Amino acid sequence: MTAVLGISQWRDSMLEATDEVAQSSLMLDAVTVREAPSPLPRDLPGSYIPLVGEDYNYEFGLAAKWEHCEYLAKTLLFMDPGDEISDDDIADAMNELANMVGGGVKKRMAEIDTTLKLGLPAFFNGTVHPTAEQEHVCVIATAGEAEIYLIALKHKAPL
Amino acid sequence: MKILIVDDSKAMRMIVMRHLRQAGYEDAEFAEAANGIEALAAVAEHDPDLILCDWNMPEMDGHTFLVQLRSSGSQVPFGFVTSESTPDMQATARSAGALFLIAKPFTVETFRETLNSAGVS
Repeated sequence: MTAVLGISQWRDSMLEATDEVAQSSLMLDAVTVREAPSPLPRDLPGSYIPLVGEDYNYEFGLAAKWEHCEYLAKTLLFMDPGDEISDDDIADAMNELANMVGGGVKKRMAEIDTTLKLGLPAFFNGTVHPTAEQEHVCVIATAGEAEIYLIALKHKAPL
Repeated sequence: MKILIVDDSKAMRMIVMRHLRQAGYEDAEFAEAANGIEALAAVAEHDPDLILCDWNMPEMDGHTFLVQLRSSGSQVPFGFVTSESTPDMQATARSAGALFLIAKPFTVETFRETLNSAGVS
């Protein structure tokens, strides 16, 4: 029960942090949120960043269809929709968005856990697949023209 | 004015430069580095008037870079631009010799106000 409550708190922090980044760095309206389907679609590239406490670690991810990753990257980089952008720049921009959201989550959760450390983001092609040993939450945040799957997962605590 | 931007994200270096230009530093010359090691070399090469640096970076993080920079005798104005901004980090940054810490996400006004308050012009 505690663990479930815990990951829900992280979910809320991630939503607040994403909304902050969307409005201030992407200059978009406030995000709207809905629950994600289960299982998740298979082809969702995204950037994941670890947030590590003393006795647990979370992975946070911002995943989206490739064309939505491209939209988010171009928006972050002040590019026009028709501009050319490399795959590297899309991954770099998605990593930076994950980094900012991760920092925002850490800031919000620091009142509860002061030991948290934020790692470095990595971009993956494909969808993360939580196993039965991992708790996870996933919601879809619509930011401008992009649907962003916000994913948090952690290993279940030992009994 | 020469400004060194240190961040492992090319996207973020570009965003910081754009914000600085809009904050009144349109005539600044910019140099870039992707981590602390590159930044130490860039300081020797460019002799910047201001350094804006990320905290979490591979190879050498921003805090280690700042400590080594101050150990070398350099007193160039230094500020962090980072996604983390806990009170502990603020204190650590200041004790190492940073003038300020700007938290991501930021705005043009954040840069303008912070740099003015820090006496950077």
